[in-house]
Amino acid sequence: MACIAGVLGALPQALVPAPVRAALLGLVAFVVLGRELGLWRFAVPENARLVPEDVQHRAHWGALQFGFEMGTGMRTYSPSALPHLVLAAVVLVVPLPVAPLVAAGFAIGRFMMPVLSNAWSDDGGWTQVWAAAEPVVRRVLACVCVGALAIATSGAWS
Amino acid sequence: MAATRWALHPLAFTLALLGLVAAAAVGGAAAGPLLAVAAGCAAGFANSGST
Repeated sequence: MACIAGVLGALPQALVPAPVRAALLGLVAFVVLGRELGLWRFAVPENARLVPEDVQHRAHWGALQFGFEMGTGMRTYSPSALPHLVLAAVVLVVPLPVAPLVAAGFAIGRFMMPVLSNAWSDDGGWTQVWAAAEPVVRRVLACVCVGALAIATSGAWS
Repeated sequence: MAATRWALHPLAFTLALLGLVAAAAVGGAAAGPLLAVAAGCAAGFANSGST
């Protein structure tokens, strides 16, 4: 997804001046940050379907398909708008060679949740831990994501 | 044991990402790839539910 967005982003990145693209991303980041901080609410585009359990039992590639759909988030709900912000960044400001790194980071983030959950306990205690921490975690993650994009856009990628 | 629990806590991972971005902020142009990974990582973690 990031690579496709990166390729598509080559056109606006070639034609639109960098300050304009940075301003557009800043506007998107402002809206998304406000949403993640709970200042305003709006729905984000999402597939809103869970990956059917029987997918992993299909033929030889079932497990791979399940992992792809779950890992990429392409067929799940999206409780956050940060993926949409990152996608906008890839189209508008992230240099094409760096786009795969954004995708790798996204995969690591997706991967960490089940890793931490499984390592925590087998009794479902993680759900309570997550529920208690989620409000703070989501706000900090929003600041991390917006901060990283802002720093990189103003310096490393410009 | 408490240290292990804290290391597995979602807030610990989140704060580690925050520290990474703060450290990268002083890295200049060389920090670009690190910031890209951090931004993607925050989005991926936020995109996950409880499991």
